Amino acid sequence: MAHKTINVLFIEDNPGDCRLIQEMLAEASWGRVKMECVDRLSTGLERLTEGGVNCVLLDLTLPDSTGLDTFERVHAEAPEIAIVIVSGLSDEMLAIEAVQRGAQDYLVKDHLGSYVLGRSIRYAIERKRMEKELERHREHLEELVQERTDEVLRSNRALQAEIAERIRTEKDLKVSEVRYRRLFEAAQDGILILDAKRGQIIDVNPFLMEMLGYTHEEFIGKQLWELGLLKDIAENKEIFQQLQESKYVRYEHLPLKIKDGRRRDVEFVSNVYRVDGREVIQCNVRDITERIKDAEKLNKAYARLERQSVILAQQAKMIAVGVLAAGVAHELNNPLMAMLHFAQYCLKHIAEDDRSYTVLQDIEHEARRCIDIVKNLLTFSRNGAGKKEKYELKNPAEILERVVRLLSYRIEKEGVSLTSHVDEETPKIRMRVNAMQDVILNLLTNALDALEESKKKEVRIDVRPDGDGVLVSIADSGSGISPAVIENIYDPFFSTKPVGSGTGLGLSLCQGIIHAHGGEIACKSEPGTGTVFHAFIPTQRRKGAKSNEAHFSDRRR
Amino acid sequence: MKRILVIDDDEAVRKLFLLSLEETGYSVYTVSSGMDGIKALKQGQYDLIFLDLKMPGMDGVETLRELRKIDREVPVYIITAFHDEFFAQLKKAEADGMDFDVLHKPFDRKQLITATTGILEGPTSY
Repeated sequence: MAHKTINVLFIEDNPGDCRLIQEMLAEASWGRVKMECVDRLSTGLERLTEGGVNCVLLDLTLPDSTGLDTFERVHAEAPEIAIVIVSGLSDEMLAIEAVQRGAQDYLVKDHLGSYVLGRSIRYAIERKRMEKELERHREHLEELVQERTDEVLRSNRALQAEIAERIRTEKDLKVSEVRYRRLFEAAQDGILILDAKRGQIIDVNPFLMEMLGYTHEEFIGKQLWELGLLKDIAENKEIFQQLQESKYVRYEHLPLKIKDGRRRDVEFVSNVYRVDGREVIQCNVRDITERIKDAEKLNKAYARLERQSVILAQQAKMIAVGVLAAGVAHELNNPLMAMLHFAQYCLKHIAEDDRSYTVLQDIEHEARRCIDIVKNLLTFSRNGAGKKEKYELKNPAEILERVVRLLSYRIEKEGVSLTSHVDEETPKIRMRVNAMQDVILNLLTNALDALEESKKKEVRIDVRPDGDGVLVSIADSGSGISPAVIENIYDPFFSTKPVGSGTGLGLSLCQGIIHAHGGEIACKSEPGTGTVFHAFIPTQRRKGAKSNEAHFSDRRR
Repeated sequence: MKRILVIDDDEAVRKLFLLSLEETGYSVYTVSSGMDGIKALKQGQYDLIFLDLKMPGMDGVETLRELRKIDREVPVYIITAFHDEFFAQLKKAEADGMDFDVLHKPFDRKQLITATTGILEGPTSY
């Protein structure tokens, strides 16, 4: 131990005790002790403020203070200084309590010896030092703990915030995932998710499965082109490559072949985007089959309307021409008849051997021809005034006979052999007589026209009952119609005849009239062999029926 | 001598009547309008009248009604090509008791003579 001087302050009112202790300390062999003695607490406290005291020996019973209070006051004044209570036997209990409150030791005056005192003072100082050290350590530790605690608290708060954020993000993610799923599952468009690298199908929504007729299993893991949706594999691959390159592909109209072989028209839009570090392709597939169908229907309807309006315009023109012809015919009627009578008068009054006689006969003959032409014109233009002709119940054979009579001159002149067969069972038909007459006239004229270049000149007309109507067939042995031409024969203005010979309206008008009767017209032709036209007319015109399209479906062409 | 009246606005028609009926020996008189026809009937009696249906001014049907006021009995041939536009009026005249027959244009000499003698010489004539 270092021989350091220990300054001891003895607060004791008994001078005898002071002296005794002084002597004990002087004998100490363990170090130098310098002791000061004061007899009042107040003096002691004063001394303590001056510093330099290592240890206080304290008697609890002093003139200006007694009991524990004495200790408390010294301890309060100098908490860092070791205090050893020196008590009489009588207040030992108090001394023990003082120790409990922070005094280092207590000594009983009667039992004091130099060794005990010295040890007590040394220990007291040492303990106090230790205590202080301990205190410092504790304080440091507390500081450290506080520091750490703060740190932990801070990071804890940060962690909590982070956790809260995570939870919220997760929730948001979950919400958006659910939202996306719901969109995906409920979308009324097909959605296909592909791996952008290899084109493998990753996911497919129920709508697309239903649209294309494949199950989920059939889709997943397949390459886009494996499904054979598009017309051929090459095209599928091409689309995929295009998509990979441009990242965006849009087809406004893509025809697909679905699983059962039927055709579906779709609108196809794809985008490439990145998810979780890999590129995927989202394809949106919209079924536009119905829209396409509607558009096609609309186009057809437009085309039909256009055709009809052309026919109507032509019919109006024909009516006008008819009215004009009728007017001319009416005007010619009287002069022609007069000429006939004049010639006949001359023939009556001239000798048969007169040179003029045969010439007059020629005049009579030609006048008759003119009259016949006028008569025919009037017959066929009688309905030309524009009013709708009424339907009458008529025997088709009657109409046929009239037309043949009308064309008999030409038939005879061109050396055509005409055979006509009318089945006895043929029923009467409700028809517009003049319109139907026009149809037969047109068909028969066409047949005669077809024979003009032929060696074999034959026309065969058949009229017979057929189902709920009558079938009129007019066959010729003429040049026939080539397949390319036959497509167009009912189109208005389509004509193969030389300019000026045909209007190209005959068959289109015929078809119009037959359809108006609820019937159907069909043509069968073999180039080089001849042509046959079949016209089917139902006996009763069905209400609301426009045409009997199905009638020839099995024998057309 | 039987007397025939021809009412027609067309001169050629009037002339053909004169020429074709010449050999029958009947007296043929011609006028060019319904008005003149009525005047003629007022002035003298006829055994047969040929009346054109389509004439400017007073047409055949109107003329017929006036003629019948003067002579209810005389046979009348209405001459017409096609009578569609007069059909209703003719039907009505018939319903009103106007008696007439129709001769369709065009007809030749023989048809005209047959029609004429049929009326004037046949059992239906008076």
